[in-house]
Amino acid sequence: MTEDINKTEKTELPKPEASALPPKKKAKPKAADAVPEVPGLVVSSSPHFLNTESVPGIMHNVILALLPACLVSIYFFRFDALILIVTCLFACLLTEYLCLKFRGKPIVIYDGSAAITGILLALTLPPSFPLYGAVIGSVFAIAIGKQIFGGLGLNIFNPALLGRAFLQATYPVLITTWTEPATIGTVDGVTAATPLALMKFEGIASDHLTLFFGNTAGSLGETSAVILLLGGLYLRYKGYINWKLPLGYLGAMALTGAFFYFLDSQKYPDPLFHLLTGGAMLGAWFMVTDMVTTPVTNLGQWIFAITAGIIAVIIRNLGGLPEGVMYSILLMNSFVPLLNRWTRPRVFGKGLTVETKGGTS
Amino acid sequence: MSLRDTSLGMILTLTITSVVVGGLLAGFYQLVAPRIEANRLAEEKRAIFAVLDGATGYEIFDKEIGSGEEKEVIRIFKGIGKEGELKGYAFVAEGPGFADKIVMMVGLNADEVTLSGLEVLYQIETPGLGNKIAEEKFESQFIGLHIKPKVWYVKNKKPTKPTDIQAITGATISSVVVVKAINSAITKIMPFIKNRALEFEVGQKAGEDSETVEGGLGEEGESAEEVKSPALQENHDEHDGHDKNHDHNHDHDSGESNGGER
Amino acid sequence: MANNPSLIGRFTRGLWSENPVTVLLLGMCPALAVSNSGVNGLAMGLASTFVVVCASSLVSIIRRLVPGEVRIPTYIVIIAGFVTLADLFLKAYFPEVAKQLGPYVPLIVVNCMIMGRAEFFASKHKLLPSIFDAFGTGIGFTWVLVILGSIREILGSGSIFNYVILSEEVFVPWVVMILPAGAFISLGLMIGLINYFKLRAEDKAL
Repeated sequence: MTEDINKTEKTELPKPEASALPPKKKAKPKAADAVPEVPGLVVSSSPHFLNTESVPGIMHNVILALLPACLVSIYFFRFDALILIVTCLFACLLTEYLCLKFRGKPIVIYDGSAAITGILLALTLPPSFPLYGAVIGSVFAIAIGKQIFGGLGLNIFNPALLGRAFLQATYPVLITTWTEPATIGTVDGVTAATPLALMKFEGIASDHLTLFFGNTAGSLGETSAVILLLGGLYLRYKGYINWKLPLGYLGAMALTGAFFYFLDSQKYPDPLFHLLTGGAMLGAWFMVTDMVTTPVTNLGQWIFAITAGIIAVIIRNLGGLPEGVMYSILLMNSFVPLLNRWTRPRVFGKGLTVETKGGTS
Repeated sequence: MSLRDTSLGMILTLTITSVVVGGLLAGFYQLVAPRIEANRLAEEKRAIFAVLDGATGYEIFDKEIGSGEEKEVIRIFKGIGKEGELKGYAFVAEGPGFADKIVMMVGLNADEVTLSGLEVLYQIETPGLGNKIAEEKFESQFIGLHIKPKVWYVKNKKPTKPTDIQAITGATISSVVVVKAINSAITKIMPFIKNRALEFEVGQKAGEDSETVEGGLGEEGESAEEVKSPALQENHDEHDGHDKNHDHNHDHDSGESNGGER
Repeated sequence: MANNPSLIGRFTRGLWSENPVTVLLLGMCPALAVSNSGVNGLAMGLASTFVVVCASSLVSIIRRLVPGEVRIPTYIVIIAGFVTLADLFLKAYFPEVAKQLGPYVPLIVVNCMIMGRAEFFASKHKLLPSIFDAFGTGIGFTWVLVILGSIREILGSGSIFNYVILSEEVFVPWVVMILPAGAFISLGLMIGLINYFKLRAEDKAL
C-alpha cells in the first residue's frame, strides 16, 4: 500500500480494537504534512500481524473515497451542502480536540477519524438542516458517541450514526424536511418527499435510473448511488474494507426486498429500489464496514451484515419510518461484542491460530 | 417460643396487616370518591361542551352493537342547548396511536354531515411531533369538516376537499389514526342518530340493536331548532340526564327493546 | 456513614452520600419515566417521600411484632396501602398531575428504594431514626428528580415548571430530552458528572 496519500510510513497495529493498550502513540504532527515517527519496536499482545498501514493512512483514504460523494452533493444542493459538510467537519474536529484535551490525552485529531465522522454525519443530513443542529449532532457524535467510551477504537456504536440518531430524535421535523436538488428545482428550497417516503406513504415508485444517478430529494449522501458505489469500490480496491460486509448487507437487503416484493408487488418496492434508495449505499460501503464497530471474525461479519440488511428492509417495509439503514446498523453495532465472543475461533493446542481476515477489518 | 414465631403468628400478622390497611383504604376511598367522580364528570363535561358549540347540557345513551362475543357498548352524548334544542352528538373515538391508544371526544352537528369539533382526551404520542394532535391548531381543523363519504387527510398542502384535514408534518401516523378512529366511530354511531333517531329518546336506559334501524340519509337541510321534544324540555338541566325515564320513541327505529340493563 | 448515630446524619445521608438515585441507583423506573418535567419530578418525589416516610414509620413501630418469615409480604402490603392512599389523593385533588404521572404512581409500590429503607433500616431501628432516614432518602430522591426533570423540561420544552422561558422562535426544543432516551442520557451524564466531582474532591483530600 504505497499509494498512501499522505506518505505515512508508520508501523502500526492494524486493528483499532487493539488500542486498549496504547500502541497508537502519535508523534506530534508537523504543520504541513503529518509525518509520524516510526516507533522502533511495538511490544503488544496478539494479534501480531503488522503491516505498513497506519490509522491515519486508512482514514485519509476513506476521506478520499468520500470526496466524490461530497462533490456530487454540492453539485446537487449547492451552497447548502457545502456549508453543512464544512460545519460538521469543523464541529467534529473541535469537539474531538476539546475532549482529548479534557481527558489529558495526546491530541490526535489529525488521524482523520473525527473528520470522517463529520463528513459521514453531514452526508446523512438533509440539505436544509439548520447549522446549529449539525453542530449539536457533531458534538454528540464525538463526545457521547466516541470519547465517552474511551476514544477511537473503543466506541460501541458508529459515532456518525449515533449523532444522526440523536438528531432524528431531537429534531424529528427538521430532519425529515427535504428539499429538491437545485438541479431540478427552479425555485430554491422546494420541499419534497424522498423516494423512500414517496414509496412508503403514497405508493409512488421512482425511476431506477434517476435513483442511480441521484437526481432526487434526500439527504446529502443518499441521492447518488453510483458515486457512493465508486467510493466504496475504491476502498475495496485498496483493501481497506472487507467484501463480506457490504456484500452481505446489500445482498440481504436485496433478498429480503425480493421476498416482500413477491409477497405483494403492489405494496412493496422491488429489490433494486431498496439498494438504490436511502442510505443503503452509504451505509453498506462506509458504515457497515467501520472497522471499530463491526465484528472481527469471518462468521461474525457475515451474521452482522446479513442481519443488519434484513432489519433495514423490515423497517422500511413494515416499520413506521421510511428508512431503516441507520437503526439497522446501530442495532447490530450493539451485538458486536457478543458476536465477537460467540464466533471466536477455538484455539485447541497448536496449529489453530486466531484468524483476523482482511488485515484491517 | 412466643406466638410470633408460630405459624399462627404469621397468619395473624398478615391477616391483621391486610385488614387494617384495607380498612384504612376503604375509609379513605369513601372520603375522596365523590371528588374523583366529580373530576371525571367535569372532564367529560368540559370535553363535550368544547366539541359541541352552544350545548349547555347533555344526555347519555349507551347502545349495544354486535352480538355474542363481539358485543360492544358505545356511548353517545346528545348535546342539548339552552332551549332544550338538539345541538348535536358527541362520542368518544379511539385508535391505536404510536405509543399508546389515542382517545378523542368528537362532536357531530345535528345536521349529521359536519363535525362540530374535536378534543383529544388522552394521548402519549411523541412530544413535538405526534402530540401536536392535541394542539388547538390541529383540533380546530375538524370544525365544520364534512364526514361524507369519509374524513381524510392530505400531506404538506392545504386541503382542497371539505372532508380533508392537513396531516401534521412528520407525524402522519398519528394524524391518520385520528381520522381513521373518527371514521370508524361515525360508522358505529350513525345508525343510532340517523334521521334524529335520538331526538325524542331520553335518558340512559336503552338497548336497541343497530341492524334493525331503518331510514334514508339524513335530511341535511333541516334545522335543529324546529323539532322540540316535550321529553327534553323537562330534562335539560345542566347535567347529563341520569334519570331513568324509559321513554322510548319508536318512530324511527323498529328495534326490539331487549331492556338491556347495565 | 451508617455509623453516624445522630439524627441529622441519618437525614443527610440520603441527600448526598447515599442518595437513592445517584449513588444507590434505586428507583430507576420512576426516576427515568416521569422526570420529563419539573412538576412531574416534584410530584413523584413528594409522593414517594410520603410513602417512604409513612411505610418506614409503621414498619419501625411493628418491627418487633412481625415474624421474620413473613416480613417482606407484610412490608409490601403496608407500602401498597400508602401508595394507594397517595394515588387516590392525587386523583382527587390534583387530577392533572395524576393524569400526567399515569401508572407510575401505583408503580411506587415496586420502587426498591422504599422496600430498601423498610428492610434495611426501619425494621432494625427505632421510630425516630427511621423517620429521619426515610425522610432524607425521600428528599434525596425528590431533589434528583426535580433537577433531572427541570433539565429535561428546559431542553425538551423550553420551559421550567411549565413557565416558558425559551420560546420556539429562539430555541427549537430537543424532543429527545422528553423521550425515554433523553432520560437515560441526562441521568447518565448527571451521575457521571457527580462521580467526577466526587473523585476530584477525593483526590484533593488525599
